[in-house]
Amino acid sequence: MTHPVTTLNVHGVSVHFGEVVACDDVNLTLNTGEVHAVVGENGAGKSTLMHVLAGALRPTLGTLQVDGVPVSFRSAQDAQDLGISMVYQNFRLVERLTALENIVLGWKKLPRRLNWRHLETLVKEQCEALQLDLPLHRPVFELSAGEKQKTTLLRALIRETRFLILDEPTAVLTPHEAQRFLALVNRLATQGMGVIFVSHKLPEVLSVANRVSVLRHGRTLLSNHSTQGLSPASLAACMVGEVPTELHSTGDPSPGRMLSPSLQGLDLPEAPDPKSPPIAELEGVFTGAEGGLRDVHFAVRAGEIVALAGVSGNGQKDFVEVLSGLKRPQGGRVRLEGDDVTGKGPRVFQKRGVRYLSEDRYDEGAHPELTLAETSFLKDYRQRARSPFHLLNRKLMAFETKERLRAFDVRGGNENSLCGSLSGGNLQKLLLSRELAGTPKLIIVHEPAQGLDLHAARFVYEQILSAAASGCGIVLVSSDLEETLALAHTLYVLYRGKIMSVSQRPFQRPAVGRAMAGLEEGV
Amino acid sequence: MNASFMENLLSAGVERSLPLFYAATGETLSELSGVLNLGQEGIMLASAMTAVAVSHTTGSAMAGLMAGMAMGGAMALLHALLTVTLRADQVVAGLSLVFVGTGIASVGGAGLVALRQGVPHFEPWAIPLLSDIPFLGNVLFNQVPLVYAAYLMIPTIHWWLGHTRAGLNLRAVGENPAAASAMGLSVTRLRYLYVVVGGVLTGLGGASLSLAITPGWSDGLSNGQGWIAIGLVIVGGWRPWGVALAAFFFGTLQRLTLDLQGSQSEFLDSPLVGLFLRMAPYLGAIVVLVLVTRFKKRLGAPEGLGKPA
Repeated sequence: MTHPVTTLNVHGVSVHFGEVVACDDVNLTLNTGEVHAVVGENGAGKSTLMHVLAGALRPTLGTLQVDGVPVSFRSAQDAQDLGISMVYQNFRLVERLTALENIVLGWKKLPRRLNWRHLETLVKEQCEALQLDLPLHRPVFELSAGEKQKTTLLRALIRETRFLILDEPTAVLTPHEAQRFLALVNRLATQGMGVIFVSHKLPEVLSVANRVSVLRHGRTLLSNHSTQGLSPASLAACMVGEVPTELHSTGDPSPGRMLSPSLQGLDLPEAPDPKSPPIAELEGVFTGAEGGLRDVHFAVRAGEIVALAGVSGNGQKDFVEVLSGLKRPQGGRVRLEGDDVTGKGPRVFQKRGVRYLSEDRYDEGAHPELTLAETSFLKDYRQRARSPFHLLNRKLMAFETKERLRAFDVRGGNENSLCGSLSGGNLQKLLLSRELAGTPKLIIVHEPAQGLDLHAARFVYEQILSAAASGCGIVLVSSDLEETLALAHTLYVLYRGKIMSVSQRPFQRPAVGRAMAGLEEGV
Repeated sequence: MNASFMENLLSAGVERSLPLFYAATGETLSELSGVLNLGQEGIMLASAMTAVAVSHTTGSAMAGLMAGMAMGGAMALLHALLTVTLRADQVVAGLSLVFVGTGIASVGGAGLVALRQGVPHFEPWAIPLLSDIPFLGNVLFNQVPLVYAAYLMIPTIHWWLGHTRAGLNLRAVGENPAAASAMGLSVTRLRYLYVVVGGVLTGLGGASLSLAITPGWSDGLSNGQGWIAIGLVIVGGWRPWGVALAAFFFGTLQRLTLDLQGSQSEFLDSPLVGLFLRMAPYLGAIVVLVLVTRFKKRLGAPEGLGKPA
């Protein structure tokens, strides 16, 4: 079946925010029936461009054309009317409403009077056609990241979408889920949809996209290039505008599998003595029968990197929250350096040197309306930034934040800018600098490189490794299997709230894979 | 306490809760759209006065009611203009609305005080058959027509929130304006709409006060009920049924204190006890609020409440 091809032209689009030029004379041609990848470093202007396409931002200069006819969007609705839908990286869902309510919200064809049974059937059909499994009647705040993404995807799909914009769609998915998702993207394209695919994962881009465009510093460095014959290396080089020397390191990825360049040739510090006492321990932790942790035993030693692998939504959130003191387990004990601290609350954990880098940078890690300096001291201003009379020592905060921004190469703002103005990667670097400050004993990082470009991800990994080398215990909770395999001394696999396996380097990939799928019992 | 005391109390409680119910329901709609309107007291006063003035001039209580609602809508429109378009702080704008409303009511109502009860107003109308039911008939179905309108309004709004497109849009826009906007809804339009609709309902509450509960105008007629209404929204958990029950509870409580003061007991008639009795509803409001916050994990306040779009 052939579909008439519709073309969406981005013609000389520039977007200025005050003096900042986020997009500068961008030119792209997007066709239906194709997957067009847009890649670029953090802050390269990808998100801005996508917002322009989705009607959420108006370009300062330039035009959009659909089949040669200039169009201008005054709202997301205008873009939707022309069949352009966007799946946002941070979802934009109404948390208190159910998945189904979110899916149909704002839909043009929604009748005045809602027949929920009918709507449910409609969405279920769509789910079945795409082999998606989603609890439609649960409020969104109870859903995992993967489920939230399915919700946003369905939201776009029930509308008559000709162009689907996916912003970092696989960032929150596990390798297995991602694989299925990419197949789904391909299917959508063959059915005549135009998919715009924003991603940092180059192997993924090359496997799914027909065409690729590269943005750098807001300009199109590569436009509408066919992906045929393009190697990840050349694409990576193009993306960063240079070829970073460490990317040449000859880590030998097993055949047929591409290790992300950001994970190649990392120096793993030596594993600590397995007889040394653990910094933190979980003993038989239980957090609820449904979706919670069940009888979890866990230990991490000084200088050890322990990874918790598994498909997201298997209890990872409870795990990090129990270990960081945010959540009180219903059963079992939490020990820090041998002392029972169960239920003591996050400030006690914090004081004892536990740091936590949340997977949710925007909601849990930072507040968009705080300055970078305030964000930087959000956790320890009591100890470190207090002047007489209990006021904040702003001078000290500004000074130290400036140092941190320089040391961690945070771009896109100074100590007085608001967090909301930073791109995801830069925000992550800022948050990492906050958690690494002082003398942490244990750092819990949850999806630390999610949505980051190669450079930023590499930087984050190196910082984690150097913290471990200086004797800090690291708990890496990640759904990126390659990441956990490359960085961990010890690997736990979590499945449906239970620890399925614990293994030491060198890891048996097939065994880990089976444990992630819940196939193998035995710890 | 005998049965007829109970019957009279509950019957009067239903009547008393009427202004609270309308104001609190209006506030609920406004807050669901994400706009906190602290101006309820001012809106109620201004619309109560307007209702009396128009009812007196035209000789029609119905015209007075309409005028009161229009006044409420107009004042809420001012609130929407300040908070949605001009992005003023919702708390500050709401508080200033109280002063505006109180001022309008005092100035406009100066000549109306002398009218006392001589204005056309609503009389109770017993529903045939239903009002013959023992006890309940007198409590529920021997009331002013405005009460019956409220009976219809509660399930209607409940159904409307859950089963219509507009209801869904309203729930979304107050929770997450950014998401609603990304889905193509006009946050500005929705907020204007529901702030004004909320104001019309509050105006209805004010008018019911001066045209049905205590006919006629006197300065400060609403006596803090606008403030209680805002509390009731929280107690009622931003749900129509909850708000209605909370309004009934407080209306009855208010009435109870009046009844107790009017009794022939020497103890209850002493000035000190009288003061405490008059304080009781407000004290009750605080206690219930504390209980509600204590025992309900997620209170249910719209996430986007108070935030500009």
